[in-house]
Amino acid sequence: RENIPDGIQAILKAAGEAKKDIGAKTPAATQPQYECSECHAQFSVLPGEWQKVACPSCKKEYTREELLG
Amino acid sequence: MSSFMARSARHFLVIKAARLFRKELNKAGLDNLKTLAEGGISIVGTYLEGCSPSEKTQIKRDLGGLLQMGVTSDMIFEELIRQMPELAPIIEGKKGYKKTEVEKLLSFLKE
Repeated sequence: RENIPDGIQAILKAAGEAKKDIGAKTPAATQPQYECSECHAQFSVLPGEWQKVACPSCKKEYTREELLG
Repeated sequence: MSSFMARSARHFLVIKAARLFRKELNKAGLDNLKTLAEGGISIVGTYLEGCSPSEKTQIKRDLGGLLQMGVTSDMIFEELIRQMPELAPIIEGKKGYKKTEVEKLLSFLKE
């Protein structure tokens, strides 16, 4: 496991908090909405480079390619 | 001759310093750096504040040595952007951001 310097850890932490703030400030209506193929629940995903996301209702996992493709 | 050698040594040190910064920045991830820059959060400031006391001492010693040799923060930033062109829109995208980053670095060295 690569040793991440303290300074880089601080950047990762600050970026994580900044992304949370962006997600909190972005109204749900402007976030892309997706429908789960299993339970048909509507859910949104925070903007950014995500690879996997789970339906908040039935927890079915989707990859980026499955949802955007 | 000594001037040519001094310039060559400075150039070598600038490239080496930028290469080290690039290695560190790659660990942070460009996406995270972009998030900070777009949020107006200083990358340099966040990094330096997160460093341990021993890391801060090491950075001050290394950067102080570079400054004494005539290497400036601007030279390092320019070389860093040359090595990492994808960093340019992040650092230069927000007005005044690069300037504040340089000032953060200089104020850290004066502490």
